[in-house]
Amino acid sequence: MYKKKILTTCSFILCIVMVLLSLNGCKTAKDTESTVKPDIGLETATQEKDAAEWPKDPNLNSPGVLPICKNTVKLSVGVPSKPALVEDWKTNLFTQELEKRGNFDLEFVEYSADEMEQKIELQVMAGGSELPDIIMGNFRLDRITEYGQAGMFVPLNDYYDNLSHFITLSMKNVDIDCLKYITSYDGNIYGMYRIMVSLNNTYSGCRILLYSPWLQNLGLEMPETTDDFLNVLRAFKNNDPNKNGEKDEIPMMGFNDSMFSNYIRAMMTPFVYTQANYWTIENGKIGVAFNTEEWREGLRYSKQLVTEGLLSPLSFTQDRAQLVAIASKDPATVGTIPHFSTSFLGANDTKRVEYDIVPPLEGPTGRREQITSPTQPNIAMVITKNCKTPEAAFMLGDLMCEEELSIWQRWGRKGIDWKVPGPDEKSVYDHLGYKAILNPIAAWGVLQNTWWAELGPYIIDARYPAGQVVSDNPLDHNIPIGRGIESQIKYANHNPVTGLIYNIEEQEVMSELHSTIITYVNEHFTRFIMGDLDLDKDWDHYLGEFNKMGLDKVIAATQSAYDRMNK
Amino acid sequence: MLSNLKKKYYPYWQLYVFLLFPVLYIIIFRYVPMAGVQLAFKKFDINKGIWGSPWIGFDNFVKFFNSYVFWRVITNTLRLSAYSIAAAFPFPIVFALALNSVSNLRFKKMVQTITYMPHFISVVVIVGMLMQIFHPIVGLYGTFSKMFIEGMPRDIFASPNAFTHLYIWSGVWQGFGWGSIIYLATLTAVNPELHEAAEIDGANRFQRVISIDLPALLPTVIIMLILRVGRLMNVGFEKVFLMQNSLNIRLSEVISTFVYKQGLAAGIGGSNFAYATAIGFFNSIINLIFIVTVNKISNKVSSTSLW
Repeated sequence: MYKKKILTTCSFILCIVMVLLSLNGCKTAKDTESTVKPDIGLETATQEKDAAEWPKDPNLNSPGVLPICKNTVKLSVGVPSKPALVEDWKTNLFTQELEKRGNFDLEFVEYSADEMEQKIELQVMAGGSELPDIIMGNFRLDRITEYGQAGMFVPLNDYYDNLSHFITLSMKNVDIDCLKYITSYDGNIYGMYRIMVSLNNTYSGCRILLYSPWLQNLGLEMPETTDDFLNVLRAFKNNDPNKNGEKDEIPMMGFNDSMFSNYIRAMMTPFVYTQANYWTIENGKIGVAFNTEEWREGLRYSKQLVTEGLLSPLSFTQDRAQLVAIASKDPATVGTIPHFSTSFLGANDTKRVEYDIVPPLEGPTGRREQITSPTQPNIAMVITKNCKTPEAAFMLGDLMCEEELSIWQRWGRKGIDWKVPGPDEKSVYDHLGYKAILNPIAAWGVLQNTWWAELGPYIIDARYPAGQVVSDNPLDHNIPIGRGIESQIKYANHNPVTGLIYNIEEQEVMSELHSTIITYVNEHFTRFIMGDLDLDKDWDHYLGEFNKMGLDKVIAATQSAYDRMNK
Repeated sequence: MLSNLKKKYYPYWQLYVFLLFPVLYIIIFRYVPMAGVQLAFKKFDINKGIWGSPWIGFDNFVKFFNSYVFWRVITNTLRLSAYSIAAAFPFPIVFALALNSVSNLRFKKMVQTITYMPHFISVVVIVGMLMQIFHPIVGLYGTFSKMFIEGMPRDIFASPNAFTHLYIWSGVWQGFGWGSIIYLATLTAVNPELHEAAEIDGANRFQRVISIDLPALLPTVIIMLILRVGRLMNVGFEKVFLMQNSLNIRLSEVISTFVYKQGLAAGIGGSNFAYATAIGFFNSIINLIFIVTVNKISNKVSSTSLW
């Protein structure tokens, strides 16, 4: 009895507390609603003035004239805190340079690096009054769009049109329509971007590396077609290319993560256009690669590789560490690896420079192309509604895109952290016209106080990453890439469906259905080529399931996003 | 009324203060977050927050029931969970009974320490160890099989069935020592007079375990079983996720990994919190039904129950 009474009292108290708490919750929710209202006063105020003169802020010099601000402008800057690669934001040399050139006083608000996204989200949900003037970091476009539409960030379209000076200058050497990739579906641009055009990354997505000493040992040529490739792998398997008298060679092996991007894309492309999400495009119509007859032919080829013992089935289950353990053995035992570089091998392993890029293979129907993933800009900086001087903030971002300051953000100061190369120094891509332009001295990836570790907006065109001087290290993993990338460039297909921006309705369809479909496709890819499913008997069932999963809706959503972006 | 209360509770107020902290803890960290469950019936809009998002009724649930993978994740979850109960539940009990009968105290302590140890290894490390050990070329498994068979042995991680066994039995190995603690504690409470009396009556050690220890343990066993069944739909996320690959995914995709992929990791289109909440909520309701049912049955059959 006694016990029961305590229990009832306790639960009664509990009930009351819960009711009180939920009431409290309601109240705060209402408060937020009232403050979340978009704050558009700023723009209307600026629009009233004569539109001819930019910048409208009388304290600012016209674009391109330094310093940016006549009187010092104070800005609070949200940045990720340690453990970034930067010792102290305020005393950082790059910060000081920006303050000097622009006449700014930058004040840093640090977000804990691993929860930056959540912290910003919380601040937004609480009405955004605590957001700093500008935030630097890595932002996802869909997030930015959501927050921007809620009035948290200042739309920058007019600023891009009228205030960008250094951006325009730096973009002269970049052949990419950057604004297209950072424009939200509502037509607004809410962020400033960073881009480093990388020759290597454009081609690294589908690449196969081949251990070329074995070709010499067996007197073979670098394969050009899928049939050649098959024969080379057979020779690797049977003819003891590593000459140790043992049949321990593995003609082809990868690991679980890279298999799906690298292997599928590289080995299916001779049969069908295979882009990262398997979209295909024909006369402006979006389709998918994985339900075509050509895909089935590609699967047959891969299945043959597995059946003949050429492609190791472990590729689908082992992780990177295990591949490294096998590939590091001496003498070499792995003939080909679907991967973008040999950097995973130990720093003193001579095999790092002995794997060469296999040129795009020609398929049985004569298809031969290299799918590229063109560099795309990332959103690096946003200006929030709390910023009293959004024009000055934009011009700060613009200043950071100036060529020298862009390079400073990645390689440091000219003459100190990097040097202009002498006439006899060469870059890895010298033969492709990328002359040596920069010789890095300062080490990347260490704690320092000279630069911002690629945090802010910048524009670095292809000449710089490709024009780095070859290091003295004869085992630099970039050497074989420089040697072989030409064959990939030769067959490049520069028109992939990429960087699609979905609107809210399309996003919903995609988030619900797309991941299920991709999981299904990858699962069946392995099951078909491992012989777990039969390519004749089970193929129709495989195709039939796509209707149940709503593939047509996914394609329709992608089509409408594509049409909107390519009007 | 008031004086009555005062008389009843005042003399023990210190005890109530002690009680206050766990109750507060439960309220703040268990009850308050429950308010977030409303998300399951809403269309989440980040600008309006959890409380301000518009209601959409059961749409999220309907979406899950109609989803392509619904039956797959449900059956996989139940299969793994049921197998895990069948395999992992009896082990700690038998182990506790055996350990309790050991008379050499030093040996007993040593065995305990050794068997508790795996419990403290992180799941990530365990899966890493499994992958290393069972690798057909560089692993222990590969090295051993090289002595007996030609060529490469079967890849364990490529077989969906092997995944199930490996998942369960590595779990048994990791957990049975730790799981036996509660049974050992119960066994120390058994009155030694019972054992002495049985010894005088000529019962051997095994007979004593069956007739004295086991009956003493039974109520605890039943409570633990009820609690375990209450988590039937929960298959731990990390280990399954880490062991997943495209060859075993048809048996290894469970509710929690599906929720993760839908709710947090969805690539194109961003994350879908409301949908993930709905699935999680559905999960909890099934668990609740299980625990209530099993509790009822147990109450009827053995008159032991949770409440």
